[in-house]
Amino acid sequence: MTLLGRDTILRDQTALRTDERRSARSEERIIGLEGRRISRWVIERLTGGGARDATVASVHTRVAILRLDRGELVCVGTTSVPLAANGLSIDLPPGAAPWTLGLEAGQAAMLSRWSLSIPAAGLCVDLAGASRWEPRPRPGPTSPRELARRARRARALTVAEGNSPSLLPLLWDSAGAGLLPEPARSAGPPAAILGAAAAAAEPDGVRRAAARLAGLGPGLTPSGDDYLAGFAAAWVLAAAALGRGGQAGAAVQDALVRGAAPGASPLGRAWIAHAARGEVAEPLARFLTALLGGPPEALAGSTRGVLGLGASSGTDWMVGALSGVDALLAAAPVARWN
Amino acid sequence: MELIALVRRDAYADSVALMRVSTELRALSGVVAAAAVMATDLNREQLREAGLLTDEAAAAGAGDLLVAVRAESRAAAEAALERAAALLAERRAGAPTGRAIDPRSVLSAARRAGDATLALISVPGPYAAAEAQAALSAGLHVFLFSDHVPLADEIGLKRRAAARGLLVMGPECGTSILGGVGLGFANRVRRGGVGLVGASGTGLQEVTSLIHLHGGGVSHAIGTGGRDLDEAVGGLTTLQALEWLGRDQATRVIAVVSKPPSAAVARRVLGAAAATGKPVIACLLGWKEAPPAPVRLVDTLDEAARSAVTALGGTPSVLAAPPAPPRSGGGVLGLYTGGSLCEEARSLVGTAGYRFDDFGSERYTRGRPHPMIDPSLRNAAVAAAGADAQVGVLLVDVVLGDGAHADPAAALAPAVLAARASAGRQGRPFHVIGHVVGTDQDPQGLARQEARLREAGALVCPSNRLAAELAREIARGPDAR
Amino acid sequence: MPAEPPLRGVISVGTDLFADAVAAQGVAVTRVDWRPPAGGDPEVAALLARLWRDEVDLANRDALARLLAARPVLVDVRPALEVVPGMTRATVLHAGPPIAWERMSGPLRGAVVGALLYERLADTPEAAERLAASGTLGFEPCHHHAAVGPMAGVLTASMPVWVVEDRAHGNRAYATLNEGLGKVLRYGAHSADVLGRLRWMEEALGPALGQALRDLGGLDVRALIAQAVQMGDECHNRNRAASALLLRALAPPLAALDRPAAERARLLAVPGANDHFFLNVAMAACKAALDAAHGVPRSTLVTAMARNGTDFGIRVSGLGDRWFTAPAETPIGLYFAGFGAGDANPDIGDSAITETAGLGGFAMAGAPAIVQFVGGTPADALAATRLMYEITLGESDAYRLPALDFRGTPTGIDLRLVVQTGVLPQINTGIAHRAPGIGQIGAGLVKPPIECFEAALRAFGDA
Repeated sequence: MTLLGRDTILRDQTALRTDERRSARSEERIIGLEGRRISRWVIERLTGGGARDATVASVHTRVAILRLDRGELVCVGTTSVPLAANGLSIDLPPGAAPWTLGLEAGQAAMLSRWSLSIPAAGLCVDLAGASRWEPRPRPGPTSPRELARRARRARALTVAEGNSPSLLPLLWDSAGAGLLPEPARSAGPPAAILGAAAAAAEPDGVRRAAARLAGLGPGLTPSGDDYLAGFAAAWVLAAAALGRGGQAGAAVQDALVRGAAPGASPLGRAWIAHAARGEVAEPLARFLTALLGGPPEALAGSTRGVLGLGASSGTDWMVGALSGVDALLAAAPVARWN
Repeated sequence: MELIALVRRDAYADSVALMRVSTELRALSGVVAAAAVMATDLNREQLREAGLLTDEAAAAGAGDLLVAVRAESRAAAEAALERAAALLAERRAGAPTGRAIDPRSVLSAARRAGDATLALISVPGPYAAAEAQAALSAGLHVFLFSDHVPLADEIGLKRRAAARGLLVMGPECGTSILGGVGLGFANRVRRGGVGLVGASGTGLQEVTSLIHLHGGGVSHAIGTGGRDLDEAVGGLTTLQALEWLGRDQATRVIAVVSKPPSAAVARRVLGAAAATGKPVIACLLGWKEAPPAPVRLVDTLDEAARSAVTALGGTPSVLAAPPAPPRSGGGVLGLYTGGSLCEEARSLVGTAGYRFDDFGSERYTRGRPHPMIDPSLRNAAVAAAGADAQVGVLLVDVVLGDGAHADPAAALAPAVLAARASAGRQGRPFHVIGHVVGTDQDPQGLARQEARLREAGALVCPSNRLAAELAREIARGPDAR
Repeated sequence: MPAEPPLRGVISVGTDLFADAVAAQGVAVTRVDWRPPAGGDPEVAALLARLWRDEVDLANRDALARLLAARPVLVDVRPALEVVPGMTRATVLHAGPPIAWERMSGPLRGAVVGALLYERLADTPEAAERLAASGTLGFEPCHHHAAVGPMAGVLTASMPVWVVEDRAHGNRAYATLNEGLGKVLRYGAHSADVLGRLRWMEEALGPALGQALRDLGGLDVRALIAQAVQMGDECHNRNRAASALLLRALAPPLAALDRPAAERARLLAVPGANDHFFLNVAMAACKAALDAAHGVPRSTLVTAMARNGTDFGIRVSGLGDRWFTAPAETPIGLYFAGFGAGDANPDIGDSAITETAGLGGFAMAGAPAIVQFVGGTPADALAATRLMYEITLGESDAYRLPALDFRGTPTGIDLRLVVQTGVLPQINTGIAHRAPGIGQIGAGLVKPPIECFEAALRAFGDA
């Protein structure tokens, strides 16, 4: 199948006034685009025949979020945006300003394995040629000592190059912790409790701490949500890489997700749930692969790749991930993990 | 006719900025000729031909910035150089595009803020010495709030600073006032003739606030950090500060405030104080030995304030405690946020004391903010005190000023009410005595804070000593004579 | 007194609480964006505290002054055996810190083989490899012989080298002639074309350039770089303007040489077609300046950053000839069509000497077009240079950036500042394919491993 439709009307956002956009739509031109990559998780939502109804939940500079009929969130972004665990990336012609296409929150959409269409915006994306991307990295085996060593390196690099304001101060030594700036000041105590409770395999403590962290801080994904997503992803994947598994670890994962759910932002909640399954966005997957038994020379570059995400999202995620690793390494020896 | 020059080593300013400086200087009254240039060979030659080259300027190098002024009088010339310095210190907002980078080190910040003279350091202890030493390298004085700084680092810092004519206030220095500007936890006090040196933050706060209350004023209050008067440190900062206060024209009376010092150091300090030739008041809690002649030893902080104001020639107000309620006995519990206030109260209350807790001490501040910023821990203890049958009198301090909580009395009041209610339910006599350290000029307002405490049923005393003595009095019980 | 009233300007390091309180009293406060050094290691912090002292500050002032005062002049081109100190027929110099044959990466191995074939020390690549592995050759860093080389940087006796002299201090530095792009020796190629070109350079180009320079009486390299930096070059990864300026200066004496017209045309055309012809000159000029600044006791000025394709190494003025090494990282950037991150060799070459001297990544604010090759936006290029001021002690007198109000480029990397702030030098570099002989596959950004600087810091602590 080839591109549907004829013209591609893509104008610079600043040049396009709202009434122009409306009139463009009313002329019934259809804008045809191609999907490049689609997450395996999204594909799984779409198997079993037929298209699923969806709504445009929100529209941002380079990403639009769809809510499927049963509530799942899908991130639709351009190829220049890191592919999310629940993501689908679309090619735009060079020079086109993304998402000036008349997308608005509330518009109806239909998503199937073959296409995404948003009639109100005159948009149709051909997904047939989109390649399948696996959002759960497969970490290689590693030892606690090697993991600790790499986590230390990543931590030093994060302390030096992470963005502020963010939860970065949580990585410093605790002396003087009382005078941290926000959001670290508010996040400090629940973060400490989360780590201790996870290490001691106490689901209640994990749940309560996650509830306090969820939604903490400003942003599309609040700092607390990013922290929890990082913590969960590191906890799950590092455990796998160390050959640990078992009910105690799973109980901690569940408690984190359940505790975070009420207070987290919608997207944050979705990404925390993904993280608890080990599903993460691409740059995060690269980092976790390098951290957990992958080629050591990729560690510095992939760490920097995470820190560069968003204004503070990447830094907050990294702080959470390194805290998750610390908690896992501090957890009681294998005997307690049944 | 005066010719003077300003040479800034290794400084840089672009030609536009330099031209602007030259033009502006030439327009000042009394200035005959002026030039601001980078001291390249060519420029120095041109200055020489224009008769603007001083010896110092002649020795400058191509990387140095040179401002030369010829004026009708010395004053005019110096004013012009000051203006030049101010103009050069103005930084442009930044290049037209791209994001600004905040300075990542003290050195970098010092290069950008050419006029800065002091570094205020409050990073966690293990990292503080590196920052303070870097500040000294940048030619800055240091106010070092950080604690848990190793003793050897403190000694190294102070020795180096003394050799360079710089002051290290700290480590663990909570308070200083320099030229009317409060650093750390400090109260807004009138400027005047009393110069203070103190190893104790809240001690300095109490004395400076009371000086203000008595109508006097403060020239400078130099904090030295809690360990300065220990044998190992030898009072390095205290001695330096005394020397400066001795030379400072604004300072007419000197006051030294400290916790118990090492004997040898105390003697040295008192000797140095005496050598300034100015009247000296010394309040070294626990020091009993007679000091050399012009030094007057006092036992309490409020006595120090009163004596200082008297020595200035002023008349201290009479401070009175509220009328004492019937002596109902019971132990005195002190829950303090200021260490020196706690110490002073403990020693005055003496045997009537049940327990004194300093919530600013390390055991309460590990991983928590200082109680003057976040009083919740102390206030919780206050609320619980009402249920303790041993306690008949509760002593508390409330510290105002910059850096402190925005409304500490309002935060404390509910705890006081709760404590009184709880004691009331048990049918026990229970008195709360408070002292507010601060002035009417503090953001929180002394009068407002005292009123709030009184509303909650506390007896408010104007000084820590009066509060402690009132507490002791009440605790003596109905049978005591 | 610390404060002739009023207290002028306070710098705050640490919590905002006290900075806010001082600002509320009307005093100007500059806040430091503080991070704990070395990710929070208190031992490193203690070492740093010992290194901020007057002796070190004075030593640095001395070393920086030497660096800024350097006046590199291109004086000649001569065979390496004749001018490079310690060069012998059995010497093989390479880029980066010392490395044994067994650990060399693809491009470097290929270049060594090529050089041995070129010097006729072996007949076939296999024989060359055996010779290299035999232990009879002297493999040494170019840096140890007052020389520098880009990418593999292999330098042997017969190769013609630029001779750059620092007129301020009298020392000299050397670098080979740049071969051009594609399949060249410095990327590990050793085919007949490569060897043929090297021989032409030895027999024709080198002597011609040498004659031209002598006829000119030398060429002021500092002035040339100063101009190039204001024409969009940063003299590491972007040398187009500088190469054009160099050729412009050399063209008249080259054209005046007593050679057949076709040869003179070739002498002009070959360098003219090479956008990086100036790179090696820039490197030698930076090397000369930094050698002048090296060896000042107790100075923490970084005087060399170099990679051999496996390790990244640095040298410090006050720490003598010691190298402080750690595994080199792989650059991150944009790849030419058909190549990707998996093909890249770790960082390689002596060309980071340009950053060490305040050019390259440090001068990116003057070369915003480079983001088309390394990724990012022009604002990122500005930000990259701005960040480098945080780790340098001074600014160049000669190399000034119009985009930053003609501020001199950040010059004089201080080891203490790198470790204390965690800000690493930004290097702008080409990316080589990990297999020998394929050539450049992209361009990007890379930083040294922090371990090099921490190790050097510890060495100061032991001293």
